[in-house]
Amino acid sequence: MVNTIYLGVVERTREFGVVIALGARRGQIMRMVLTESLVLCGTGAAIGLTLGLATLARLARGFIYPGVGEFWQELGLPAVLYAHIDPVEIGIMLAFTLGIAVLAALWPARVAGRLEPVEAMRFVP
Amino acid sequence: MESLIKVRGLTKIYRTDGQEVVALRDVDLDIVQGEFTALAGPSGSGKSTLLHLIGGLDHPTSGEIWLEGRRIDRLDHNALAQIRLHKIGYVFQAFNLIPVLTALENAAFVLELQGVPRAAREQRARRALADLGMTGFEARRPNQLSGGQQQRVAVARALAEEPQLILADEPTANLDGATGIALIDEMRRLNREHGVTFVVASHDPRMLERVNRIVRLEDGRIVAS
Repeated sequence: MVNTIYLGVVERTREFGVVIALGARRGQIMRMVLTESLVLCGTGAAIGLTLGLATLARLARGFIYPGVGEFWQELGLPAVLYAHIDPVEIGIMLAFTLGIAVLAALWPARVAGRLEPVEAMRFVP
Repeated sequence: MESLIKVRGLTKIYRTDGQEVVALRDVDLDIVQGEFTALAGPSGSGKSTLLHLIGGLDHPTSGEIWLEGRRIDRLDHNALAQIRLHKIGYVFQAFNLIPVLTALENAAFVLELQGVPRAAREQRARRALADLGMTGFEARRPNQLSGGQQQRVAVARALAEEPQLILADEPTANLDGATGIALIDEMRRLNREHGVTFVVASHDPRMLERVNRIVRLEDGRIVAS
């Protein structure tokens, strides 16, 4: 994740140089990188959550692991399983995802925020 | 008349791999409000370096730079960013528009950095684009515009922030003959009608024929002004 965000910063070094030359402060540049990481992770989390909840809705009606139901019954476990997730668990996972997004973007954001405009605009990737 | 820009004893030395390259040597220069000045000279003469230092994009090795009576050569990054944001417009050789933004969004970009509300910044950006003859192109992205049109959007971006000073680094270098001349004429008109001071680094003869002051540099020194 850090690598992805960092490569994004390297690829757009000239663009950051122009934005700094036009008057952006270091803090604004760092916020741009952090926001991008949050949008990237947030979009991934939203897609993952949607697919996960759709799968959960199907599995909540009950499902059997093919071939292992009888074996589980011999162990005293139910053959039919019902999927369930607590909203608090969803919240924890979303917070974890967004936390990772911020942590992964901290170093690349610092690199982007410390670019010197003249050097950055001459950068050839 | 009080100088808009005053430069005294300006020297810039680049140090790389143990070698020193003197880009500017003890340069003095005054530019008053409303001038249209060209910094001329061959490649490596120091004109882009001087333009960058006047615009607060870099720090000098020694010397003083004054803008509107305020000394700016020792200001920190954020203070210089504020000056660039509110007082100086930039036009670059390579246009340097943001590829994912439309012409209108590019023209309004500096106003967005300034925190101008959306309606006001779009109004000012539309006006600046119209001033450069770019009405009807607002929704196009840079890759849908010709080089001359992209440079007009870049000038509109500089003009939209209503700066006192526009610095342009080789603005016609990537434009063909007629397009380059049209852009120079537009810049001259903006200088006359809006009173914006232009300082242009250029060795384009089309530009040098049309400005009212030429500052010639050679080996980092001003040899004629």
